[in-house]
Amino acid sequence: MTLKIEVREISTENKEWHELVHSSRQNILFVDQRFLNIWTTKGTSNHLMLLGCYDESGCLVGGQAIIHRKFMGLRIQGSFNISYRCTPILAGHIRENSPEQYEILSALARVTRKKFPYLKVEFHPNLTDTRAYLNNGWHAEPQYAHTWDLRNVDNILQNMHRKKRSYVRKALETYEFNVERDKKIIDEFLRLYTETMAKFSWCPNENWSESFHHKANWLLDEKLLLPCTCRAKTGELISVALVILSPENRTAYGWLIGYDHAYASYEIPASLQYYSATILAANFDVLDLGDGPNANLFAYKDSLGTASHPFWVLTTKDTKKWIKVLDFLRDTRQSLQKLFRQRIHAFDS
Amino acid sequence: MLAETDPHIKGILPLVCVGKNEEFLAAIITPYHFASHGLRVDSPFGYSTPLFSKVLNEGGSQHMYTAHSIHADLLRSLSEHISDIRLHNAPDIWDVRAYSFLDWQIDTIHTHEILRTENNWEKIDQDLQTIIQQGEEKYSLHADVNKTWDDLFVKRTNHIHPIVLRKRLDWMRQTGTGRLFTLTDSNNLLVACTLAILSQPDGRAYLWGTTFPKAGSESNALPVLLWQTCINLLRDFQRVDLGTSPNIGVSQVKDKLGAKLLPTFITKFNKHNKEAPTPVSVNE
Repeated sequence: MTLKIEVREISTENKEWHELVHSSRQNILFVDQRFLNIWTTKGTSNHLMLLGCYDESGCLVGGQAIIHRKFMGLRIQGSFNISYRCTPILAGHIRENSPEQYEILSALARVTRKKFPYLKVEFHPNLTDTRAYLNNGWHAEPQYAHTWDLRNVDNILQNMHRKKRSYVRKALETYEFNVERDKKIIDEFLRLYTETMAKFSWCPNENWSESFHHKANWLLDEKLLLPCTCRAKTGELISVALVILSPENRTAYGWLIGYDHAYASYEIPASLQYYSATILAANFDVLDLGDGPNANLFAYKDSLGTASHPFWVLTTKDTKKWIKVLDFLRDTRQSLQKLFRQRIHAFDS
Repeated sequence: MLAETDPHIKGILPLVCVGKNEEFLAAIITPYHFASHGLRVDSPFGYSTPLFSKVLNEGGSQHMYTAHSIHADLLRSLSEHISDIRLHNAPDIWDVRAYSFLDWQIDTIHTHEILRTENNWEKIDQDLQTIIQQGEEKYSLHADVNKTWDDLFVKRTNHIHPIVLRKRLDWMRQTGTGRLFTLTDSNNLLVACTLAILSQPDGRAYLWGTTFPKAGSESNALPVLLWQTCINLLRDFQRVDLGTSPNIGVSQVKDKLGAKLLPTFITKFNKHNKEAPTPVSVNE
């Protein structure tokens, strides 16, 4: 018998969402109401669309949270540096790859397609069946998360490539590694991160920085952020790695890393990530370092001895074209802003 | 066999990747034909897939970059020789980063696999067990040669020319690498059929071209056809690949049979339509 599903927008205050998330096998911090609220307030122009899937008896059996912005009357999905963004979640009693799961995912695939001009959905790794999306005209392609198993933390160093292992060992002797929870570290991180991202021709603007402070401070207050630092013996800060903690599924997620480029880049990030793994091992099973979106990052993460775990990325048709257009508009705006600032500066001097 | 049975196939391109000590690392063998813009690979018969040395899989899901690099080299070499390529990768190829980073188009299609276990029957959904039991009283499975059934099968498989498929069926029977399983009703009329491609090297049988000449018979006949065929094949093979289907109803019957859902990837490359790589976007 086919399950009839109705998809409705629901409020973030809805208690049912909380219950759904907690019963779900996709229970991760990134779908928690508090997390979603923080990610869509203060300093951001982000909005949250929370979709609930109700069965015929009115039970909430699935849902999806989509953070987006509004641009020229359209809802546009942003990239948020969080793992498994927009993953559908299913109530705990929905069996894996069952016809019920198919109907819920089909309903979400249909409804979200109508609400957004394009959309990119990253499935939680335990959602392995993409047929519902494929049959609704979406495209499915796997990406691969690089993870360390923290239950065997002693093996991590052994599994690294020989050279990487020797760099890490050397760095552990040469530098000081610590967890620093003082909020000042967020400012320090931002300084280093700006330097790191300059390599990719990107500079955080005022809005981004304000929003980042808000999120990072909230995560710190909630003890959901592990800021690991690497300092020279003289006390000079070299690198900060921010790890988001998801106690729900005993998984920690490598979020952002910034470092001083005056120091050797091949030893610092790997050492800091290894250090964070040793700290996390007491309370977490997995450290997820994210995907390797290009051959260089794949090579780097593979050399750390991580395991590759596939997860599905579902996209609507023409997503690449939309992203190209929006990137072009963003770049044009940034160039104009830069030009404008230069003119003002020239005028002042 | 592929080249001998299809006059459009003009040759076979074998590419092998070996290590410094001449040890085998990976290979791909593709039949090609001539197209307007050059050579083309597009084999719709079974998987067309790279092969990797077991040594490369020893790390499991760790230390995969070496295998990735070899895979990428193989694909680069293939795309130097052939301008238009379509591969259907076997389910074993779950890491498609080599295609992705080289800007090949990747499409996903699911197959199902049944393993030989002690309790295959118990894994079947209870409702489906009833359908199979009732169906077994109505239908009979055959693996013997019947010209009428062969004709019906080749005519209904519309993505390969009937003459080509007929030759392939004959060749596989002669070499013991293929068997056509047919399900008939009490009047000995063909209700459903499937071609099992028998692969001794990997101990697997692959079902291909499952079809229902009698309209409306899918829901009752399909479970019987698949279950009976599997029982037959699992005597000699460890695994049976039930094949892909765009029909979700058919696909869900395979779920209910207790088969494992597996993604497979159809990967395409066209030298002439190749788009420039999309730059990595760093923003929020």
